Amino acid sequence: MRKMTPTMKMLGIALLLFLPAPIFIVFGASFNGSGYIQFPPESWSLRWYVEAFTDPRWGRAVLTSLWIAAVVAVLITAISFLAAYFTLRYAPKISGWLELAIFSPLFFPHASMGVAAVALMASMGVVGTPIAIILAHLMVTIPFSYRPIHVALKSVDPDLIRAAEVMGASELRALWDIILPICRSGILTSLLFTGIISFDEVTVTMFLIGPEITTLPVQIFTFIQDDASPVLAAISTLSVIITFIAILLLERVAGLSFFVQRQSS
Amino acid sequence: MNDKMTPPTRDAAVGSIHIENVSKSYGDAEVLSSVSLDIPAGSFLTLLGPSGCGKTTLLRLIAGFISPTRGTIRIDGRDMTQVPTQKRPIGMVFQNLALFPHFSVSENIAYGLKLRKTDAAEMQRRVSKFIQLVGLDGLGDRRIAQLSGGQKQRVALARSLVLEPSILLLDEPLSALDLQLRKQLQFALKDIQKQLRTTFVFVTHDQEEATMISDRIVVMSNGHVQQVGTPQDIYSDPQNLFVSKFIGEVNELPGKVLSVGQNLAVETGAGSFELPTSVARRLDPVAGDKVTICLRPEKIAIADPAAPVAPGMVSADARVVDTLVIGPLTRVTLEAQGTRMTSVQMTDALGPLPSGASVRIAFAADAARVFAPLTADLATAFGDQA
Amino acid sequence: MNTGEKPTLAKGLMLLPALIVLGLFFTSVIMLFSNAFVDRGGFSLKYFEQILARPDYHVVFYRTVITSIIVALLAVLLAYPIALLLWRSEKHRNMLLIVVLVPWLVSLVVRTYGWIILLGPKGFVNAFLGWVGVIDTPLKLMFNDTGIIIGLTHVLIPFAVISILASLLSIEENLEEASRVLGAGRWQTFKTIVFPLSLPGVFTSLMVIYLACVGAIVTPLLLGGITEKFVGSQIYQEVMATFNMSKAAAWSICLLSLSFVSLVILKFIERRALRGQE
Repeated sequence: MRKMTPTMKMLGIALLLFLPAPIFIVFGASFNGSGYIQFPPESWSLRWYVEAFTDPRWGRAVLTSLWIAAVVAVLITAISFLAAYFTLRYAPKISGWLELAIFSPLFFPHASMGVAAVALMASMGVVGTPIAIILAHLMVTIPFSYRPIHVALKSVDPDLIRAAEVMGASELRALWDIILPICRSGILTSLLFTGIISFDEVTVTMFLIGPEITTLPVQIFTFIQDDASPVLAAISTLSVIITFIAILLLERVAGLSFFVQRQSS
Repeated sequence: MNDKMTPPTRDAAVGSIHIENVSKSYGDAEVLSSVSLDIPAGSFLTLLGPSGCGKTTLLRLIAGFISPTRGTIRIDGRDMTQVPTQKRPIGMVFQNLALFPHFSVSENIAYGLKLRKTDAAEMQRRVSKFIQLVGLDGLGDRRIAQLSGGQKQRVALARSLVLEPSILLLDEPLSALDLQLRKQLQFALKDIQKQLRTTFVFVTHDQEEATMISDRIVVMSNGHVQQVGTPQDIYSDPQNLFVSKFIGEVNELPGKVLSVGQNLAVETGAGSFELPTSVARRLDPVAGDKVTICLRPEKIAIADPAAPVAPGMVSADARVVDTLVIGPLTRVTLEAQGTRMTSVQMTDALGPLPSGASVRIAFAADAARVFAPLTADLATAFGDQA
Repeated sequence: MNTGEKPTLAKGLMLLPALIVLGLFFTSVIMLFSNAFVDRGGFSLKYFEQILARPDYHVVFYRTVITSIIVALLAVLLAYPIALLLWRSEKHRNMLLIVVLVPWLVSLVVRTYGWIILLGPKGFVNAFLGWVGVIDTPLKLMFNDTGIIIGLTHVLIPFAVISILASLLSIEENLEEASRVLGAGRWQTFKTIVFPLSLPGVFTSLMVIYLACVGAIVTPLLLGGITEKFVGSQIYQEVMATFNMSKAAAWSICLLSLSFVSLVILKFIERRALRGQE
């Protein structure tokens, strides 16, 4: 009885295909030859891609988003790893409290979080600088980084650590040679997942940009409001491609099972 | 090559462990109470006891994973209190083996050598030597997941031995294997230990394994050492009822001391027996004490009820319940006034024993052992096992 | 992987970076409160009074809450068949999962932009309906509640799929077989075994989607326009257009309390629904 009725199956497939539909619409519209947004396009052209690549504003936004995503992913993965390693190995008693604190941002509506972030960053005088965006992204991504790493570390048999130490490994060596490789897929999940989140974050980020710096999604957002040039479709398609590649990479190097595991809390 | 790490021939004096008054508590719970123990270099010593007796705790203290609440542990005369695990001259085989899943067989074995920055050629030589020693020729490139249980076992052993530690700690490493493989590996372990003359400290709850494999056995229970001795000492001269029951099979006859004089008179369900006082030398009983007489099954002879009782023998009337021939030996289940007993005899030496036949059982008076009954906390150990 | 060793102070430093990030987060929350409750150096409820006194703001709150409830229910309803499909197709599950994950992780603005192209006056839907001859004048699908509901629902379905799928995957396989062996039909098995056991995933989805909705800015702003305001779009305006941080903070705290109360109610319903499980 591992089968669905054909009607249910068709319904499921129809709804599933509905999910990427708007993305395909954007994709199609990006090849439009005319001067305004239109789907289906009347004529085909790559002119909007040419414009996207020649307008320095877009290139800058893409690069900013990419390097911020990379910095955030590496930092938050390292931060979560250290915290999870310390609590699991040395202080399992505080593990519950730490998780409570780390997961609490999840219960904050993003709009409130954005205002809170801008209040804090303004008092630190960093609004409009990469620091504000990076710090805010660290707060947003910490739960998504901590969970895969915590799950991976928790499954490491303590005797493996002891075995390495009996053989003469220092704590650092055991960490590097044994624990890190075993937790590889959890760490990679954290890196790619938080990278994607940072790359695509807009609700909190849009409060923190300034004349000097803006990220790709925030710039798309601003342009949608200002004018609806089809160059947006081309740029959006590029952003989808970047996210898509990251997801494929995630599937390759770590698998997707993390996303459908039930929390064991 | 580092000469300090690999002495050309093992010095018999290296690898001794002296444990002095070591206690370990977790909060209010004392899992090890004032244990003192000398483990001579080059011996194969087994820590034997039921689960929760403290044997694994003692092993982990020697390894340095935990530190004693009180007392000191010396290895070759050197106090280990401040010495971290990494610096102790020990190797360890874990109960779950703790093989590195992301390394191949050779990588697992080479790991400790790599940490010691052994040069490539020497590493290669030693890894293959130990792969051969444990009988894993040709499997060096296998992944751990591709090995059978027995092969994993051998990798764990080789991985520890390749570093030539003066002491190897083994924490119930055979408990997950099936019987036949177990037997095979027990012999292999004993053989390897003889070849290398490394001190082996082996933990098990299986008394048969302990008696087969070791030079010396430490019987433990409830955080205390009950007895230390060779397998033979422990079998034939147990110091208390716990040890007697834990090692081998024993007939227990609970009873009461009637009188103490030249002889010790004890009344049991199977009859009253006059025994020399020497059988209770660890007890010093007085009349009225509750005691238990212990008799190994092979000490109980079965004779015709009409046959005369030889001098120095004690006898009682019994009835045959059942006989079971196990090759050269036969187990006879008997009943003496409602008390069940087992006798094990050479099959050849026994005549026909139909069920229900009346017989006379006899045993040498000095073959019996008389002990005080088990204290409640020790008795639970057998409850757990059943 | 606890090895039973005592931590040293130096090792405790490993916790420090995480504590700094969490510290920043909690400081930002404190800043939010001090912005909202302090006026000219003293405690004041001025900004809250400003908000609560305006009936048109009440409408904004109602709209936000009602829309969010509709979106949460709709998203779960539409996600369930997809989750079932993925659960049943073991062979292609990874591929199908990517079809769900990509729309989930692609930036919100891009997905919303797709809906602008679809729903706009000259968008695909109107063009199609006009071409077929169903309508003469374009339907108003955007800059109203319909647009917001369509956009938010679509944006949040993938999360519901993933969360419900996780619940379904944790059902022991033989439970269902047992039910069938005992003579229960397909529908009855679903009703009595599968659905109740998937409820934890359903409630997680409802909770997360509701939270995401009430806190949404981008989608309501782009699909709802300036007339159909959401709490999120109102907050955006206070910060970006009128530069009134204190009022924005007060709005945020209202939003926070609103979601907190809703969460408590939802938790209560969940507790009742899951009584007897676990």
